[in-house]
Amino acid sequence: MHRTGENRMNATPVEESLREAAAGAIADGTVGVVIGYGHEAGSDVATPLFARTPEQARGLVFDATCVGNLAIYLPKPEVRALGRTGLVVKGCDLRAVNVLLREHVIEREDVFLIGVRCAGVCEPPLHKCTVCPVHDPSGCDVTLGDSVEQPTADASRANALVAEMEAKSIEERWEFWKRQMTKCVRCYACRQVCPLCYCKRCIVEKTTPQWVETSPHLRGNLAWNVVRAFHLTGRCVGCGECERVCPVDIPLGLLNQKMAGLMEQWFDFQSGLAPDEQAPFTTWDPNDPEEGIL
Amino acid sequence: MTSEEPALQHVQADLEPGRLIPVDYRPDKMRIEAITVETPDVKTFRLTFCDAQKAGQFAFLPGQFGLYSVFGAGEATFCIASSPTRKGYIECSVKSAGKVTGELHQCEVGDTIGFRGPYGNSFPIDRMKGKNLLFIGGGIGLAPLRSVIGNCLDWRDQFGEVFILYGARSVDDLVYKEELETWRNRTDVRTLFTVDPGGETPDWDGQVGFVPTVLEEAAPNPENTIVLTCGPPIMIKFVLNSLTKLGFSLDAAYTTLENRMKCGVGKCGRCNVGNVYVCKDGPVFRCDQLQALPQEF
Amino acid sequence: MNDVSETKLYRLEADWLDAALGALERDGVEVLAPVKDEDGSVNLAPVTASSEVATDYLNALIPLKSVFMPRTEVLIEYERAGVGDVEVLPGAAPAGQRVVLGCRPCDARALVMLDSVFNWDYEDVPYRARRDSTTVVSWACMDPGPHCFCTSVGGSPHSAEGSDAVVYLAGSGPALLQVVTAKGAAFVESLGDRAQPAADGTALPEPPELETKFDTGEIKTWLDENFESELWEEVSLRCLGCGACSFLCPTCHCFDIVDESTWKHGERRRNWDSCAFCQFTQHASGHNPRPNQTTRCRQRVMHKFKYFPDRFEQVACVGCGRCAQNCGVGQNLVSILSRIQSEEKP
Repeated sequence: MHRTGENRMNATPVEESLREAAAGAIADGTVGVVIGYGHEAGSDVATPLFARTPEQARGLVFDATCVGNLAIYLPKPEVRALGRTGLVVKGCDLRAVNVLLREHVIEREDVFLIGVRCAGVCEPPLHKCTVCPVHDPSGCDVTLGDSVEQPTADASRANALVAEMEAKSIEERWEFWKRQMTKCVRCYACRQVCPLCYCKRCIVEKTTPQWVETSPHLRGNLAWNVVRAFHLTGRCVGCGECERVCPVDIPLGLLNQKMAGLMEQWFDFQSGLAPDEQAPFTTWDPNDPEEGIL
Repeated sequence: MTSEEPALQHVQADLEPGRLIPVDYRPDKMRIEAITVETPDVKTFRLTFCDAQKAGQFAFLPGQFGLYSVFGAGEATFCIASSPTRKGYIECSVKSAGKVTGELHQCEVGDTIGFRGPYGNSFPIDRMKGKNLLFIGGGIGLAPLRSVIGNCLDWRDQFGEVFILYGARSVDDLVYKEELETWRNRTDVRTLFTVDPGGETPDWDGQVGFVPTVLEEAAPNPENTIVLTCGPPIMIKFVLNSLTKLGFSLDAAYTTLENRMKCGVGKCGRCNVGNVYVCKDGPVFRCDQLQALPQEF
Repeated sequence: MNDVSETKLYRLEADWLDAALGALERDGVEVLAPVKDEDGSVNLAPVTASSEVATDYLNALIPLKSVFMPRTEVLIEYERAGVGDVEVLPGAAPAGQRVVLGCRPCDARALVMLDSVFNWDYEDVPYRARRDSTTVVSWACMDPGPHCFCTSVGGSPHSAEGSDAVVYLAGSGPALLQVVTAKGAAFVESLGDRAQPAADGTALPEPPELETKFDTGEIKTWLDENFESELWEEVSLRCLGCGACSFLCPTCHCFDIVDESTWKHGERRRNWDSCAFCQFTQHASGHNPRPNQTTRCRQRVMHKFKYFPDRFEQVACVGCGRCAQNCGVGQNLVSILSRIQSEEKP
């Protein structure tokens, strides 16, 4: 993030192998497009690059500015119209792909996954990178890059930001969230960038009845952001894109981290670690305790 | 008028260059006087202004539209479906499709709704005088035509021959059945009513066939004729083809566009087709001018 | 705009800001100035003391338009009066007298464009009321940011268009104030002896240099001919379809009108809306004139650089750079326009 998008002449070894893998997959017809990262003047972070020819694949980069989660493009009809999709994924991005597979939004044969081992992006590394459980994406069609040491999971560090918030009094928390939610302009960048917000018609766009008020006042904003957090509970993979793209800097990640923490605590479940995982809210198990059910 | 008339010619009554009309988005209250069930999902509402002064001042031209509101549900745009020659009330025909239209269908006689308008331009009544008139309607698209047909029939001696061609998907979907009967019984109006193949009932005595096909079979004379057509976009497209085949010039044909609108007065930014705003430059467009626009409607 | 007569140029004493705030508060005038919030964002907010005012900022996060066209506002209210009837109440009371002290010239210039739309044959009463009751004093831009391109769209870091007065804050030295309109002259009066007519021959500082990135005339020529072009598909592929660029744009003005009510009481609100949203133009029937992101991206560029100039003889862009700065996927109006320019001039 701290390097503006200069166009480096010299590719790193991982970039060379990335460009080669992408160009090859396009050239031999394995895919119609490879979606990866490129550099563009005027953008501090790497921008999505849609390579449809081997030449275009020469523009692919992989470095600390490759923050975005490109899995967002997989369900889009206009992307699918380009042919089978090749997708450059970091471990964290792969978790979103796994949920899309688990929820049958896409099928495995629709996508050619080019995994890149990643120790973390940005300098200093993002919170999600410091607690990332999948530095090494597994199950991809190609995996590139040097092996990366995977630190042992540390739940207390993963939940540190939530714990910090929960140490505050309920009044302080309410004041904090009131202030944050008041800022929301309802641009829906959080939803649009979320790989798991793929509903064809979002609940906020349903008007008969009007479930969520669309006005950007505190009441409507609270309803919207809470509904969204609930709909992502047990699904969100913590990629942090919603928080990154929020133009008014609402710490949306905190809501998702809180819910992810509860999922781990109550169901021993982390979303998106495998495409065939059994998600608690969408899996019926005859042994489920039926507390709370009539 | 000729085909050289400017593309954005404005015939809206209220608009004069340099004079600003204030809009505060406050609707006038109107009372529902009568409700006619036209089809399983279309109702016609007869409305009168609650405020006597407003009722006295109100005037509109055929083709103009308004924003009708159900308080609590919101506003929606419909043309005024009654004739300006019938004073004291307006009518609108509404298909139940979304939030506001659904709520409107729940309203009863005596209920109060809101109205803002009239907005937009109108059918070219002046140009139509002395000419033969061909009206081609499809489905609920008869609503704006009904306003201008009513106007013309009330001034019948000002126009030449009048031919009304109207079609719907099925007999059930024909709107204004009473008026259709009245028009059919007039000796000074030629009518042709049709339903799509499969939409007929055993006792249907009209045509069976799509509107453009029926139009080509009827082969009206293009000479000295003005065409007004309104209906679903796909029907309009084929009707214009048929008109061209029959020798009509599209600079003598008019239609209306109904894009989604929120303000009705050129500000909210969603009804534009290219640089043309349906709310201010339309909703009535000459068909040759329409064809010159980006095909984004 | 720089050929202002010398009598309209004032030299401001060091404590002019305190004097202004004091005088305006005594007169019951609300002052909106750039304030840095707890999260580090700068926005226009009510202030009463000069210590609250941020001076070292590039631009406000939320543009000046929000002062005249709030992101949500009550147009009318109503109370149910028995079954099937309502009493319609007037909307929110018009804003009292206000002074915006410290917007950037690009944001003020956007008001010229908004004025064109909101007074286009029909005068938008709530907008006009706020414009009439508000004085806009902008702070000339001395240090444009990496995304700025005001000079490419007919503006300047020191543009006075849309401002009632422009203040040139010159580091530790004395500030200059340029009066542009009668409202600006009235503002100077509120400064009392803290503003003195500048000495004969006092010149306005030269605006900082800013690279011109494209020519709007050439872009318009290309847009006139290229409603259909492969470029639209290419540049729209990565677009997320969110409203960040339009909501943070000082000239984007599209809005929605919605009702929100309980059984007894209801409000009709006007909210910001965006042409990037998939439902923006969708009919109740399901038909959508702009059914995909390609047509929606095209609309945004066309509206700003073709349709708006066609109707109002000005582009609807002031080059503030917020769209590029805030796009989650680095979608960049400047790069699209530069590409269009290269297509026009191969």
